Amino acid sequence: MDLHLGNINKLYVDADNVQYYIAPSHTDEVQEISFTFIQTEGKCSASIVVEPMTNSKSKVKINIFAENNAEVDCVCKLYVDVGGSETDVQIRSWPFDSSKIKARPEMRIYNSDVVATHGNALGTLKPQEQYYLATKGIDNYKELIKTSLLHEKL
Amino acid sequence: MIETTEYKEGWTSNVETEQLGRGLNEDTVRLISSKNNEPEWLLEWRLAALDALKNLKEPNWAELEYVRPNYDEIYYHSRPKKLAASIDEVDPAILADFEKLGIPLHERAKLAGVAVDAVYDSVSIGTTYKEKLAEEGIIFCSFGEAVQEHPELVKKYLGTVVPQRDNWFACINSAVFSDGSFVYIPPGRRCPLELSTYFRINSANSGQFERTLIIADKDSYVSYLEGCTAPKRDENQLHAAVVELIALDRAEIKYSTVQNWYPGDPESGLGGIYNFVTKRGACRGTRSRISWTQVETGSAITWKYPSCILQGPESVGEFYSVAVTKGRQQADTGTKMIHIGAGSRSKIISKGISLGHSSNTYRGLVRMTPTAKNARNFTQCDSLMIGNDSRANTIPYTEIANGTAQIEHEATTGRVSEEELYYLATRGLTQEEASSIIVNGFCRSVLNTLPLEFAAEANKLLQVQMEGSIG
Amino acid sequence: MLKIENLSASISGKKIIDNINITLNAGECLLITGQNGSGKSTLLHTIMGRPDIEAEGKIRLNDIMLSNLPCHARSREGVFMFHQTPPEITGVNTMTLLNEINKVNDNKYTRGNLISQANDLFLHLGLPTDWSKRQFNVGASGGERKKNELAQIELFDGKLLLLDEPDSGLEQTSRRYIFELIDRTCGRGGIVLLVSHDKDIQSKYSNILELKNGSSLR
Repeated sequence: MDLHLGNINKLYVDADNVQYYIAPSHTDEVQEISFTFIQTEGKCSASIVVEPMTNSKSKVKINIFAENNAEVDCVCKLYVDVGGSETDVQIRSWPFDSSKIKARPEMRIYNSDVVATHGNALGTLKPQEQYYLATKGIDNYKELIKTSLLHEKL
Repeated sequence: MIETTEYKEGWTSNVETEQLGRGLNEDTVRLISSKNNEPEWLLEWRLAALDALKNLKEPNWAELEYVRPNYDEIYYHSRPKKLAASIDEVDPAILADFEKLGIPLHERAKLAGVAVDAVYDSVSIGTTYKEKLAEEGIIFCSFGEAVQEHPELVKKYLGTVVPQRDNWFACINSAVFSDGSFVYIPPGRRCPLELSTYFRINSANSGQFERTLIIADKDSYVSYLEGCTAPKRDENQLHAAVVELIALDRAEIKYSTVQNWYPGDPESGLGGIYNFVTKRGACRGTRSRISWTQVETGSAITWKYPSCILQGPESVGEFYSVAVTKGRQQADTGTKMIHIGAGSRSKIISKGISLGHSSNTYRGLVRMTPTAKNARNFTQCDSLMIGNDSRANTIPYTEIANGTAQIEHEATTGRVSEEELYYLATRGLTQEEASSIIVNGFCRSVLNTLPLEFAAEANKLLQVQMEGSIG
Repeated sequence: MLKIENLSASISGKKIIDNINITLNAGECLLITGQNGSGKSTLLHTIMGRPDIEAEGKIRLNDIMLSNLPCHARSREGVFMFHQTPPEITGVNTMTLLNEINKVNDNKYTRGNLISQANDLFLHLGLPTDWSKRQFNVGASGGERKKNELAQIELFDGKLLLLDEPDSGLEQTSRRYIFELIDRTCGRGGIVLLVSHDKDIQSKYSNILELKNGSSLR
């Protein structure tokens, strides 16, 4: 299933072996596009292509949660051919249990008059984060993250 | 066949060279092996590689466009006719060339603290201070010599990090490799000198296929410098080296490269060097450490991914790189960090600068396997684009297969900040001077990891590359 | 002597400064006031020669027609800009930058002298002891960045100082230091253009240019 999205503000999408194509265009505010993948079992692969238009400002956030024996393969390609855009892509992956996550944030920049950044973090909570939660009586991080990701979506 | 070669520009060198072994076939391999007086097991090893080549295909997945080398036209071996027993007997014309290239092959080298193994068109000319290092039990010699004098070490480690059939270029190298360097640091020894090798591709249609093997035994340390220069040529020259590093328990290998191959005509892109290198380090021991530092500013095509296999628990792999491309250069470079040992750590800092019509790609892989509990990676990839026609690609692959490992990766792409340029202009710096400062600042975190001798050369190289590219 | 005639300036086609005329003799200081958005900063940047500003009119400093020169050349003729928000320049060491500026100023100091004078100055201004070793303005507060500017004026005198709200956001001691610096500059024959919102200042300086929508009110 291919989905072509044009001018967008905030968008939450469920993923399941699909491809997404986003072309943020110029608007006054920064556009935020979020993807959340929650994979409890089986395999899932997703491909997201972002091609910003001139003078657009956008932030793409991708959350990947995997548990049990799930496997997630996510490619996010940022192609920038025209000038004037500012784009940021952030991918955050939480691999719980024996799951596997592959994350590939690619940037192909063919125009120097742009700002393009990306961040890619994979792993469970850091020790300081875990400690903080423990002092609040929380030790089931998996459920905490899963719930908050689901909540954000709704 | 004996040819006297003359060069269009730069300097003329009348060294007689013997070019033999044309074409990639069994005769060529046997010829090379017999010329080097190799033992039977090594010839067999080479032939196995030639055989494996039949089942491999030349890769074309990189973001590169190039004219494929005609492997049947290349001369796979080229050595100066007169061989010298010691450095005092070396052909004066060769020594003069090294003089021009600024390589310290004399007593000056001792003051600089550099022991040099100079490779000139496939044969090592002389190795200085071999004897002095031998007092420490440190072996630093040409690969050919190591085969003769330390065959048990070579046999034990050769091909254990990069097997013959690892990839197309490594396979060719395994079949027809010419000389290279061999280093062995015994347990507990810290190599007192920076070890260094210079390469120079001289003859027409001759590829360079060096093989380097560096072994750091338990608790040892070595810093190795690789610097390359090449004169201007019209035909593309192929450079397909293989470097294998092995670090045992608590050992450390620091491998630095400042690369200065001829990049090809800035307008047409013709004539440059093809640099397809396989470099891999195995951190076999507990708390072993391998760092790769490279400053790449030459060659028409660069395809290299110095990598670390982090097998040992708490082992550390590092990759620091500055890659500058201009004119029509194309670079596809990066690193692979494979985490197998628990608690292993890796750090990647890559800075790419693209000028002119060039294309600069970072391709990286960080893999956390199920056994790499609590392993950590940090990656920073930044690209600076100068001018309007260049391209910058960042293609990081991250894979995580256990819940306790952590990978953090950040990347930015953009141009030199107008704000910064303006600020420096208000302090009287021209755009070129200001860009030079900013570019140096951009690369600072990588340049700081180079040994001092190289840092100066690297800085100079960067400056020369930037000249005339701004404004 | 500074003579500015019929100076107008636009950015991306939009006119910001309209027909400004200023004549100042050596040792004089002009205070530029006006509401936010009246064009005060832009006026200073126009005189400095910021590349994105399209300017018309003449700017002459003594014998030099500044308006014919690009930005860095104006700086080399003795124009010093005190930036309102100086940028961070990552990877560039503070002392290294001072060295470069020293070269542009005909090596006014030997390397050793530059280091010791700069460090004394940083100490005097209340900056951290490792300031010269830090990367230029990286992680620095607005006030600290202004102190960097101050140190530079102190080290490298200018003939024409363009001060863009040097005092805002600084504590009393530093503010007093700035005004003392202005007096010293005028005392040795330099010319100062000062943009400031401070009400107390207005009583101190009689020579005032008030801007509204880029034009002079008086």
